[in-house]
Amino acid sequence: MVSEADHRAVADFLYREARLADEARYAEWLALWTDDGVYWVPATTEPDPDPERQLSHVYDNRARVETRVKLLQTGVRYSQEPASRMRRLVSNIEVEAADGGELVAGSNFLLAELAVQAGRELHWWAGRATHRLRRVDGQLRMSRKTVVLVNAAEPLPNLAFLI
Amino acid sequence: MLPENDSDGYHLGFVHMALFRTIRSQYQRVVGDERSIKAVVRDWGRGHIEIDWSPGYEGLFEWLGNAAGPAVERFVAAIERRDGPEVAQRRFREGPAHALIFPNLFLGETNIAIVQPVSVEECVHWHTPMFWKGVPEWNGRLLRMAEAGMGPASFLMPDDLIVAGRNQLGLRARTSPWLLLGRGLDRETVDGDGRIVSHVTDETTNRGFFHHLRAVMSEV
Repeated sequence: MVSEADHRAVADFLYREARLADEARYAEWLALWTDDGVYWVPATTEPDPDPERQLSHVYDNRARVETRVKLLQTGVRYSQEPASRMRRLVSNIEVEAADGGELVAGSNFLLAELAVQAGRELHWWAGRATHRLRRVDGQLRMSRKTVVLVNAAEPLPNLAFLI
Repeated sequence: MLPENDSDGYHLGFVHMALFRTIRSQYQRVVGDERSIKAVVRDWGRGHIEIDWSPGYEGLFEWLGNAAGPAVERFVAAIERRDGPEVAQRRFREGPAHALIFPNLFLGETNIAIVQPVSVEECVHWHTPMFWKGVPEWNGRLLRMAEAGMGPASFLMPDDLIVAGRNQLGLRARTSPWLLLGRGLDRETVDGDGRIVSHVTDETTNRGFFHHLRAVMSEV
């Protein structure tokens, strides 16, 4: 169990993170990470996947998260040029205390993406996100974000945006 | 369209410009001034086509992000013992194949992919990294390379897919029914094994693929 105040702060963080990703506000989204952040989107829905043995859609250390963002900022990342129009709902938030004063938040999301880069296709994405959060200079930051899509192991359309 | 894309050397400098502007990669040698690019394409016949980056490589393991360190040294020593230093050094410099085995098997250096047709306007590009026997400590690197290059969230393939999607829309146009695949026709050569060889930016591979596709699709 965590305090009401912590729960509220975590929920606010998750909503903000979702909105920055939805609105392609890349620099602000990147600023939500700790220096040792790991961004992980497994390519399987099996329990306890091992990213050192199994392929992932995304398994970025902090340097690769920055590369991902820089690509999107070049203006020639054609798979997100122009950026998809997106809105996601974040719900079913559960927060637990973890080691070192960190907080771990599980949440479900449903994301509507209008992929406008070739045709104009509406894609629905759904899954569960797990955020590990740490206070840095009084502000919550992500040290780990794991996104397990319900269709993680199926053929997917482009996932070049920030999920 | 995706098999053609997998073995096309011309699109890299345009479609993957975002990557080249952001980080250094082994593909850096195939963008920029055409005259300085040494890589070649080959048409092996029967629709099998290849990009050979190796003429542009100078050092070992450029295709593997200039991999170095104790694990690499152990691997090099083991392969030199097995194959002899000369063969081993050549392989470490040249790297694995980048080739399309007709009709849908793609050998993408350290990745293997297949293109599965679903319908006239849809196909799936399945991929996996290769894992090498005896060096499990390399698996993480091979996984990270596959994730950088091949998946729906990677730094290369999404841009290929969206341009393919735009081309697919373009096929609906009725104003010009022909698309000329003529680039490099004037500078192709045939090597001692009967393979057509040309500059990496030439449409030799595209011609090789579609010539054979037409042949097999026309047989009664």
